[in-house]
Amino acid sequence: MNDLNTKNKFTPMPSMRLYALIVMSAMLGLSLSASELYRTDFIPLQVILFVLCILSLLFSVYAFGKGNFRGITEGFDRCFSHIGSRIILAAAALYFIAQASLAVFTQKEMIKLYLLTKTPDDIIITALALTSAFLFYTGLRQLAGTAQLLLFIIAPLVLLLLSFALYRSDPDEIRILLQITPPEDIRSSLSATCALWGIESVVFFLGTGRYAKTVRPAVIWGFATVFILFLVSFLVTVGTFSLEGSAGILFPLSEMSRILNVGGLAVTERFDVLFLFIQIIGTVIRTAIAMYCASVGLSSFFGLRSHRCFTVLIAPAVVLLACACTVGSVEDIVKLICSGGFCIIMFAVIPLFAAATFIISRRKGAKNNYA
Amino acid sequence: MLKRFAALLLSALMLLTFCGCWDMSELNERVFVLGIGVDVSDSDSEYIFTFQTAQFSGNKSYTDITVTSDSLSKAVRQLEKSCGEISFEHLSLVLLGADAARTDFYGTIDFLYREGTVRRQSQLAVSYSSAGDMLKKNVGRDSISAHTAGLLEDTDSSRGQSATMTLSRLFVAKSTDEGYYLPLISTADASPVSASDTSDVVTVVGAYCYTADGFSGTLSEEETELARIFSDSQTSGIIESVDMNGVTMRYKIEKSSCVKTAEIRSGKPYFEIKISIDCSLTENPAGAQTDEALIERSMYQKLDSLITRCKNRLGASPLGLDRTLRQSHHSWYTSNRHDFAQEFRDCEISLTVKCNVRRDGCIQ
Repeated sequence: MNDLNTKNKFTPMPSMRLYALIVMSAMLGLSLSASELYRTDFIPLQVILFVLCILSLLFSVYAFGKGNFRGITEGFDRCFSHIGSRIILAAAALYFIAQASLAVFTQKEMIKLYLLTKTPDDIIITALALTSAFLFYTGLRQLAGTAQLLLFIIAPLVLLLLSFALYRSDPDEIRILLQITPPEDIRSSLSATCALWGIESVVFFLGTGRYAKTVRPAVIWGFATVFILFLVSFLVTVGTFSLEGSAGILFPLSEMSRILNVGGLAVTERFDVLFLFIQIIGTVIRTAIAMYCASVGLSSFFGLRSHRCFTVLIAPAVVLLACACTVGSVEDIVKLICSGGFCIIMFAVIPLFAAATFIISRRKGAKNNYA
Repeated sequence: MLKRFAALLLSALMLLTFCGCWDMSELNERVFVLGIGVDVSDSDSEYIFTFQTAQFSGNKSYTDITVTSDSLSKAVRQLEKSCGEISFEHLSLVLLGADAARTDFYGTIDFLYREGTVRRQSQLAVSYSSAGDMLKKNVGRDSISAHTAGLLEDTDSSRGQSATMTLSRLFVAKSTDEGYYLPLISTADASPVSASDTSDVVTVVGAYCYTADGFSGTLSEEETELARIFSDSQTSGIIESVDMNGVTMRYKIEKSSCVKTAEIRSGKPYFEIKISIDCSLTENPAGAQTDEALIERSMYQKLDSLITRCKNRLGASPLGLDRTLRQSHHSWYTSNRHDFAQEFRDCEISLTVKCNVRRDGCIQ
């Protein structure tokens, strides 16, 4: 909705499109590669994170409603002052560029391993990043439309895949997760947030409090969908490969889709092609959404009304950073930026924004009452 | 105009990835590997790899290529140089020769799990004779790899512990430091014994057992059948019992279930195994009396001797008790996994066997 702020008449985005954007922004919760997730302390950690994140996102919806802001720039301007808002949004832009790069890089790794073993890395990265750039260049409304259409196409496939995988899983392996152990290292626990990376971009889609009634269910259902799908995909990989086995596999979900053999039918072994299709589509949309958020941040920083001019800047930046991830420890640094950025946005920026909005609206209310 | 141009450009770029221009290979330039045989060479430091590949002309649908190398990855590279692009997407069997199966073979075939295109459902088995010789056996138009994989897949239950071993399951077993066992196969002419699980050409005549430390021993054909009672729903085994008059009676297992529980008592593992078997009489000599108590006693003795053998030598894998303990006491298992062989030797196991004999279509 943010790109509509420049227009005179505000048109709300349909709830379904907003829902599709939220779900696709976190790639339906089907995290590509996260070996650090597979620990016995993971489920309680995820439940805590889920509660905190949903509270944070509901705070943001509340803040938009209370302040009647028409976009994130306007909201942050009022709450954090003009300079503070610009700095936060510029930092967020860098975070979203890192997130887009990591998504493209990880998808490239998967494509390279299972599909195109000889195709040069740069070609795959460029193709993915430019497709995403084209999607976000067309604007958020078109992006949401595409996300909705693709969600309708891939949702039945995801459900089919996870149902078969659940059927095949060993419930005794899943029961290991009930033997909870205390977290060993809180820093490594932070990286467990990766399953939810991308969902924070929802604050860039919220436009105005006048439509809070339609926005709130979209946010709650979107978040619940991502969380449930993530949890199911986590459980089925544990049920298939065990905790230790899953931790040792680069792409546990893809591997799982390769060994699905329901009822001894060899034909179902080809689920990996289906899964790659889902993942590629998910990555393209997710990257496009991250690029959009980055462009909104940059346009706010430079005080420009249109974000489209940043396409030529963001797309090459994503390509370069994704290519750089193959070198040394750049990938680890990008991961650190993503996990740190996610936690800062979710647990610091959004609650502060909500609190500031609440204080401002109370002051306004007090002034009006006095008058 | 710019938008359309950009769309066209991107579509073209995406098409490059979809059809895989860099990865394009003509069908006649590809070599489809159906089975791999691994044998230890005379020099001991090298392996003899026999690749059974698909052949699209001639009387046979397959051909065998032998490469000697110290690792599978090197052997594959050699094969690529001489034959073309190697595809493992149709790999159905990895067959280990008896000598190779006694070595640390996981390090040798680890390459198969690292390659993204290798079929993860490929079955693993040990050959009674040399793996290369076994793969080269003429069994009609189809390859022995297909025959063996078909036989093993038929006995496979697709979840949990199973009597068969795939590449994927082997990886999980190695990740969790669990033991496992591989079926020992033979062709009818090579095997000195007849097997109960038979196909036309290939039979399962036993199993090779492994603990986390490596090879631990072999199971006979009968023990392999008995071990299946501890793992999945056994439907093909034959039970023998001798009645009061010394008459031997044979029963076919119709259905079996095994409930295993593990506890830690005073820091030591304790296992309780409850087995229930539904069987039917296959041979009824004149005058013989069917008695559940006799069958149960006979079955108990056999299973108990297998348990004793496992405790003394073979490890917990044929009984699946390492998995049971890991699943029920994960933190204990992870902290004691390196001493598990000793812990299992000293542990206490309680076994209960219950048999129901089906008479005239109903279980009494």
